[in-house]
Amino acid sequence: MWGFLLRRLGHAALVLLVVSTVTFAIVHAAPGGPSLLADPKLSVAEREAIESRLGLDQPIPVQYARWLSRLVRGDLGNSFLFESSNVSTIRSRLPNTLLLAGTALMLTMLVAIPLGAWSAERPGGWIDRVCNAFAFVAMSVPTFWLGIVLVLVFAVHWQLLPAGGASTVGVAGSVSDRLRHLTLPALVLATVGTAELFRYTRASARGVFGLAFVRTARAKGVSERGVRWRHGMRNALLPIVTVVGLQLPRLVGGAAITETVFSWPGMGRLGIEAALARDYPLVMAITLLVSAGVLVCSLLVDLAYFALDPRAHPDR
Amino acid sequence: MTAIPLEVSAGRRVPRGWRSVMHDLRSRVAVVVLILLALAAVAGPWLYRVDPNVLDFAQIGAAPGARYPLGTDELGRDVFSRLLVGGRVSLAVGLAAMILSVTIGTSVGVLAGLGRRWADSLLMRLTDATLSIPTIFVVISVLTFLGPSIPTLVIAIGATSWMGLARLVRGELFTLRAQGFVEAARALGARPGTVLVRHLLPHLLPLILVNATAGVASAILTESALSFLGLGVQPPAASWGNMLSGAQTTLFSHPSLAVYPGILIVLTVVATNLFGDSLRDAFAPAA
Repeated sequence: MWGFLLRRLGHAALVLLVVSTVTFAIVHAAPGGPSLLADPKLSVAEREAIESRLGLDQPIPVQYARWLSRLVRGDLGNSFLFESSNVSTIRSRLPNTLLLAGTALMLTMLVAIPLGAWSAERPGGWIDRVCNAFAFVAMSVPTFWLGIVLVLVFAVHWQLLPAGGASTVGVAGSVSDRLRHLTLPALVLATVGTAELFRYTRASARGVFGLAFVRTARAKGVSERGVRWRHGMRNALLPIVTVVGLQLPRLVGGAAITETVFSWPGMGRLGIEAALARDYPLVMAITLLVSAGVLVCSLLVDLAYFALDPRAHPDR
Repeated sequence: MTAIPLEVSAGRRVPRGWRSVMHDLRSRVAVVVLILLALAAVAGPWLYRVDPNVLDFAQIGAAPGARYPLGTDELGRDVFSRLLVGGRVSLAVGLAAMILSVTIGTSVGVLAGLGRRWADSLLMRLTDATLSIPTIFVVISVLTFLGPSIPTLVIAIGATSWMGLARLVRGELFTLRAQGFVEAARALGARPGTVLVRHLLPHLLPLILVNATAGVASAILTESALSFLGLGVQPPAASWGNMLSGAQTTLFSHPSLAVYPGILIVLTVVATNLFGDSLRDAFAPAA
């Protein structure tokens, strides 16, 4: 077990090193530099002053080494755009993203797992067909478009929900206000994930429902509900753990478009703003943070899997 | 006497998986839809010769009529002609990005699956790394400095979507190369290249095809998302993605402007995914 954990942590560290090198290389291969240097009003002297203040006058390997050594000490560098430390910029945005992604993930599980189980009972039945058709369309609609349509219908036309932002200015503390702001972005963000999780659940449940122990349970008179949940889904959900665990970090990173549509003050939108403004230190900080999140989650998924399914345990 | 063996060999020429794909309603519908869309995109602009970039300021947001079959957009351009030309661009971007991603994914998977251990672990760490990166930020960074053009879009989308296939190909090769027929081919003196091309790649083909269909669909969606950020195919050139994002501003006054490209995107993506599902059921139930 410990050997496994050590090996995985070693892998994760190596992967993070590759991530940092690759993103640093891609981002710094850019001709130009941050957009604040593109201001034509700057004189040559001012430009050089800014460059030396930001360390951009150094050769790229030196910049990389400096950045890496600061990274090890927990310093993610300073943003060009906000002229402040990336750690504090991200810290102010991360809770919003976690709230949005967490809500979306909950919604996804609450909808996809029961529907998947239900569909799998009668493959080809009308419930199965309707759910499948919905899942197909949900996976095929451009996210931003779905967001805009929902805003137009619910915010502009019916004026039921706010069009964007995380809270109304002035009533920031109100829970109902936060919830109203959360509804549309969470719905949009949950759509694709729900469709995917539904399809996984359905496939997994179909596999399990056909097995002998399910038939045995039914034959010995277990209620239909008990057969479905206690015997069938309990086993069918094993692979689902993997899917859900791997969706969480993707929700955090993939929320970028949704956050932009709804002007949600989260980390995804921050990343897009930073990338558009060529604020490389911030782009790299966010990229690295999300990558680390992905790696941690995939490790947790493996550990959860060992706990749930002793057959998969590395010491066996 | 001769009729029976002839029929058997004719039947064998189409492998069983393909026959089940051909008889599957899903793939039949999908193939018809895709062929129609492709025909419209390829031959459409050639048959319907209206300049998609001419601005008719007297007819901004015009309703469908004799002069403009589907009306005009927010700048007075012919919507029908833009849909046809935009379809060319969207489908081309989707196909090209898929080809790039499948090429990278297969190559990395083959090199990792058949190469030495150090190559395998190097490539897999690279794959893990790329898989863990939120690629959208990297894509945006690259597009802001290279400038969004069709080739850079294709490269950006293709180079960030190959990882899943690479892993699957590697895993499949691990099981395949331990099997008897590979050993037999080797024992008969086949060179590694021959073993790969003649004996291994045919087994990988279904996996690659299923992945390719999903790749086209996701590339078209990615292009539309990038258009929303202003980094997709650049106006005045049309793509379904940028028509959709151009229609945002007039969504209430002229909802149809967003409906047409939206429907075409959804139709294309649904059809490719349906075809992919049918392929998956026929060849690789586990994948």
